[in-house]
Amino acid sequence: MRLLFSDRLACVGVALIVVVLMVGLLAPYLAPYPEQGRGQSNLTERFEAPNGQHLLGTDNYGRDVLSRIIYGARIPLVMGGAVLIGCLGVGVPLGGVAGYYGGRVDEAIMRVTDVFLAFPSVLLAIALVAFIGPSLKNTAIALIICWWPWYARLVRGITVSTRTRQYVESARVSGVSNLTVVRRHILPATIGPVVVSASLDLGAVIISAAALSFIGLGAQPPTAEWGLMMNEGRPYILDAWWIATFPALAMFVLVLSTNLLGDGLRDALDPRSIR
Amino acid sequence: MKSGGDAVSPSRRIGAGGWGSGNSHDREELLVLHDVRLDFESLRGTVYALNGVSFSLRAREVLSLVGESGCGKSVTALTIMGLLQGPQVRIRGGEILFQGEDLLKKTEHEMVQLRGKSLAMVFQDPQSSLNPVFTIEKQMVAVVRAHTSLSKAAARETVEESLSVVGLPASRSIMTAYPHELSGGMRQRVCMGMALACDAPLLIADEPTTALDVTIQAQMLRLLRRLRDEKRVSQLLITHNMGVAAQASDRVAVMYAGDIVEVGAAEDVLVRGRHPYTNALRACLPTGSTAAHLKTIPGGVPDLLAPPTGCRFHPRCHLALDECATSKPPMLRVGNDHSVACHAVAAGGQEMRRV
Amino acid sequence: MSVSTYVARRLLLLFLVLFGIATITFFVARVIPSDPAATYVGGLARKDQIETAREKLGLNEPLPVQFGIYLRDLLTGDWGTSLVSKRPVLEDIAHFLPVSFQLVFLAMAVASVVGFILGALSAAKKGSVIDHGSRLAAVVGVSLPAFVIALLLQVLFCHVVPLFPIAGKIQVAVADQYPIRTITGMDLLDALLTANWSAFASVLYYAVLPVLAVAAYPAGVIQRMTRATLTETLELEYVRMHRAMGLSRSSIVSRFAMKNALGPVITTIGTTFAAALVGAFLVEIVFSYPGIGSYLVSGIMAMDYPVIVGTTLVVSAIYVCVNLLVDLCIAWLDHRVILQ
Repeated sequence: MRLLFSDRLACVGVALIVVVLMVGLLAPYLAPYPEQGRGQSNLTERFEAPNGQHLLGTDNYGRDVLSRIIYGARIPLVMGGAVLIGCLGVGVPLGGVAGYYGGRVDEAIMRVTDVFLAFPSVLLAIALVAFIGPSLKNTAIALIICWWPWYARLVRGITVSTRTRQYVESARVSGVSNLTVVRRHILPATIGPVVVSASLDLGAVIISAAALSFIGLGAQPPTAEWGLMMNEGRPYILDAWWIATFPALAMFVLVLSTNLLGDGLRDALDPRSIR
Repeated sequence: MKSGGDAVSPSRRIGAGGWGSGNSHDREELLVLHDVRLDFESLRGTVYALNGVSFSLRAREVLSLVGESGCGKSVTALTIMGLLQGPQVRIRGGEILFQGEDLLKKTEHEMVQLRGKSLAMVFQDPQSSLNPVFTIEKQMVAVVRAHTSLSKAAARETVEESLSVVGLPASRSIMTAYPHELSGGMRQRVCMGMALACDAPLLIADEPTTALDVTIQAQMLRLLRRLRDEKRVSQLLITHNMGVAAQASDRVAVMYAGDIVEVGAAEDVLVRGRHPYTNALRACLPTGSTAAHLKTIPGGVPDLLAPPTGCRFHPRCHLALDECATSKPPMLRVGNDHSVACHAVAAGGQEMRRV
Repeated sequence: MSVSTYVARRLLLLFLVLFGIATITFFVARVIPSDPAATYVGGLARKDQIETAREKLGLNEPLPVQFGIYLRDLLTGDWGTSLVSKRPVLEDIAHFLPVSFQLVFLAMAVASVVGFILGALSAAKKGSVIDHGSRLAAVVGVSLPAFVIALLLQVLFCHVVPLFPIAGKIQVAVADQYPIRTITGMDLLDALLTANWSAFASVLYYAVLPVLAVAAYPAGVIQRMTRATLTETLELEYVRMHRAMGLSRSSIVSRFAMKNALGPVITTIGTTFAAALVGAFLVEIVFSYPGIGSYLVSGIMAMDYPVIVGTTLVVSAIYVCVNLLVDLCIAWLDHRVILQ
């Protein structure tokens, strides 16, 4: 942890993430036009270029782009968090069971993950959402369905290596119950790598969710979501470039900061990287 | 105790193998280290790795540098080669004269030209010393062509020759092999062949036999001796194994925690050593009798982050005097070709003169 | 394990993957309350028309039977008819896929070269200004999703500095005057093969921005991987041996260490291929580039179920094959790798 904070770039990453979180939380107080941030249109002020009243201009419905970006800050981190927690909820127990009991259960679970990991998961997510119907909730569900195998794999690997450690073996032969062994020895060993892995994935999950919104499968109008805003602004890119550009920049900053945090965490926890 | 002017005759030297062309100190000094000091910056602080190392190696001579792991033998070798680099390495002083020129003053560019051509080195583990994804031929030809203007074909011939010098059949099968297809002994021979392909006058061998099994070790030592006799290659042999030192070297330098504590003709140092550390090392050698316990030197290798003051061996030394804790003992000449750095020897010494 | 057994095993995995996708999409599609027959007939259909369509599409059979028929059709190459274009899905895919392939291959080529060079420079000059610049570029590349960078490129090079066309894959006038004869379906290759230079130049010109947008992420990842593996390689014992033999650092990097580092880099190229594929889909939409991504999205918009399934199956198959090729490449490069 100390090492993490000695990494200046990682600190910048954490700071930016906190800023996005705060902006999202305080959106009603920060946004100059909260009702437009929530989607109310304002047809008298369509396509206004950035000016004193609308710092980042207005969109095709006359809504203040800044307000919508501020409201949009609510979605990506919540989505990222929800998807990752969902993946942990599915992947950790399955991976743990596979690793702890081994044998046929292990074989079955691992072959399933093989299949999942063998093709681009976002593609399956797109197909799934296309069928179950576009919405943020379905996007999250589809992403969980496609992403959990990574965590199952990770947890299984750690469980197998921990289970065969001498101190765990001796706990088992001395009659400690399986549940206790898992709680005392195996779960603690998995926490570190799982957290790092999740923080490395956060950026990718946010991008995937935004990508789904961008092709119209995630957030639905009039929700303020950055991917959707980019899509809505796309037809006007030459004349009213600000509609799509500013959400794109916001997206960039957020993903950049999650990457900085992820890199910092990985460096801090990898004993070989001494700077 | 033999300590006067009468030198041990070369033919009686341990492991001299019948070599004997005159008195060793008449010959020019090929490599001279003078008071080399070197530190590392680590996360935990400064490591005082070399604490004024001095010794010299004469032409066509094999000098063994012996000592426990971590005493600075390999660091000394890598410093000579100029292979220790990076922001954490600091050379604090001294000089390394090779053929009269100070290597520490050379630029990296000049060192690149010397390495492989004049100074060659082989490492402990032949397995990891050879690049796994290139054939032997490709790796060796690159070395030859880096130092000569030979064509590819001519370089290939040179490589074949040097492989036969190190006792590998000059067959295509070795040239076109990948390192993992060869045995450990063959790999170490390849390393030596590579080191000698450009007729370097000095070979530094860092634990060249440690990673090999015992029968191969003996072959390797014979090869080293032949290189000295036939190809006139001077060698700095780094080893922690007193037996290897005895078999292979003309002279021996004993190193302890970044200091040279004793240096001299092999027999003088190994059989009639004067420094308490040298003698303790010898006492630890298994004697062959089943009843004898393996002896150890009490205490442990000192932490070079905070090395003992004065003589670095004094906390473990049964002869330690008061002054040992305060001042570093100077090198004392105790024989024709035999010097020791020890206050106790100096105090108890009879007819010793300062070097 | 011999290479052929290995390949056979991997192809079995490919089969499993395709079966898995087919199964998942089939059941998900059947569970949801949407009527494919209604979509097939169109918005203002009469009830009896829908009923006929249901019969025709086999929707009245029990689920397991439908699933069986569905699998049989897939295996026999009958992937259904697009509900919108009314053409066989496989035919459509064969038409659109080469366009995307061209985009992705160009992008991967650019990304590999740029990423590898930047990474090697970074490793060779570690800690220098070049290193920092190259690392910054990589982090930006990794952090910009393809569709975001596509939008930003449009703003920059079509609006601020109008250098490149905003959409399409060839100038209409050029396409009219110098039509490309279809051989492979990849316009660039076809133009090259028929020595149709005007069309070649136009296609290339229109591809610049999309290719850059798709290439950014793989280039960033490849830069990082190259830098990391090269740095690690340069600290290995055999590199010290190369140095002890008098080879300079730059010649070690260019002649030896690069090949040592190539394995992980090729693996990375393989794994980023997936990202590039999916990225290309979104970039195609931004630039109205008529590839399989545009086809898939139009299929999604119309709930065109055979299109979605067919595209997903084909793209997944390609992905698995690319990964297989990558693994074979690595085994061929490094003689110690044992395939398993």
